Amino acid sequence: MAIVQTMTAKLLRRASRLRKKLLQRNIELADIGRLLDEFEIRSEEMLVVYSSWEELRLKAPPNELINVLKARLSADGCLAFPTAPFAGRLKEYLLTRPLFDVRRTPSCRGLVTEIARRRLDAFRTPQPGCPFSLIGPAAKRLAGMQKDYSSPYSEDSFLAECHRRNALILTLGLNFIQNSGVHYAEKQMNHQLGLFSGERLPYSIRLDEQIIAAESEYLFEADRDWRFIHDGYRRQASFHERELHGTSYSRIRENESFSVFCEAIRQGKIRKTSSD
Amino acid sequence: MTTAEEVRSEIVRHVVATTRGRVPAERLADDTNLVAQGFLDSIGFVGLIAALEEKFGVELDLVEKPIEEFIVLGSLVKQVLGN
Repeated sequence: MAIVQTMTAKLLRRASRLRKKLLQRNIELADIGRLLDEFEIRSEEMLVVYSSWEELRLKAPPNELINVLKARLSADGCLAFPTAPFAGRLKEYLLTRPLFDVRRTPSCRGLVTEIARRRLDAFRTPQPGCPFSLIGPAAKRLAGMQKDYSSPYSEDSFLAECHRRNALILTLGLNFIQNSGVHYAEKQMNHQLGLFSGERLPYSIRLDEQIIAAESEYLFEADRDWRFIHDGYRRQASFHERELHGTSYSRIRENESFSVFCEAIRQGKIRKTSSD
Repeated sequence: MTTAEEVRSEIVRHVVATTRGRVPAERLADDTNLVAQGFLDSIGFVGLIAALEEKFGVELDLVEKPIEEFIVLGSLVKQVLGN
């Protein structure tokens, strides 16, 4: 029985990949505009964008995509792109005792985020564990909010502000892979999973010419039951998911995303995987 | 003064290292599209740009210039040299 189930699952995955390949083709900025209309993204106060350039296959330059998204902000709005400076684990990054240069350290979260970081109108939040590059009328003010550099999830952090303002989270060509959301929820639930080790690791931040030495409580990696989380999203009122030419797009409000993660933590669907 | 050959060698070295030898140097020519031909994903491409900027002390204008100027090997060499 188990063998049959495994084989069926494999066949279904293969069929899904094949279907995606057949459907995939380039999209235009106008397609993105229509998608944003469909998602009712017209005048957002806070829009957090996760993207995959490869999956998008957009014919227009990344900068024009950012302009299209920026045009959907309110008069005091802010567009946010994750621009973390490491591709692997936070702990490994911090163990190198890095200097995180807010202006110059590249983003390791893909091409769109790096273009966003480089724009003249972008302001980057300074905590190296989970920095965002912010664009829009409120960008400068929000990027300067955080003074507690020990955690990406402190009360004055950008992520906390996203939660307070019930930001809209948009993914372009990606499923929800929100480590930051998981960790923020876990912190708010008083570290029920023990994802925070309490061990403090040093790093430095360069803010213009000023260098600030800081320490961070590093995080364990979290293993997740994505099926559970995805089903959880589907039950939320503001969750919308769309496929266009083989590429996935979705949107959800931060507070609803937060509830999904909290529920997953309560039910033991998110686990600690590393013991280092 | 930096030469085109120095820049080209650095790009090739970086791509070969990033792909752990999966892409041999011989497959990288001036008309190679590093991303479309699957040699680098967008994260790898950003890493290459950062490495070139640091090594040659330049700042590449990824925001305003067409991305094709940077993802084709020969064009990327020219951009680093400021042409």
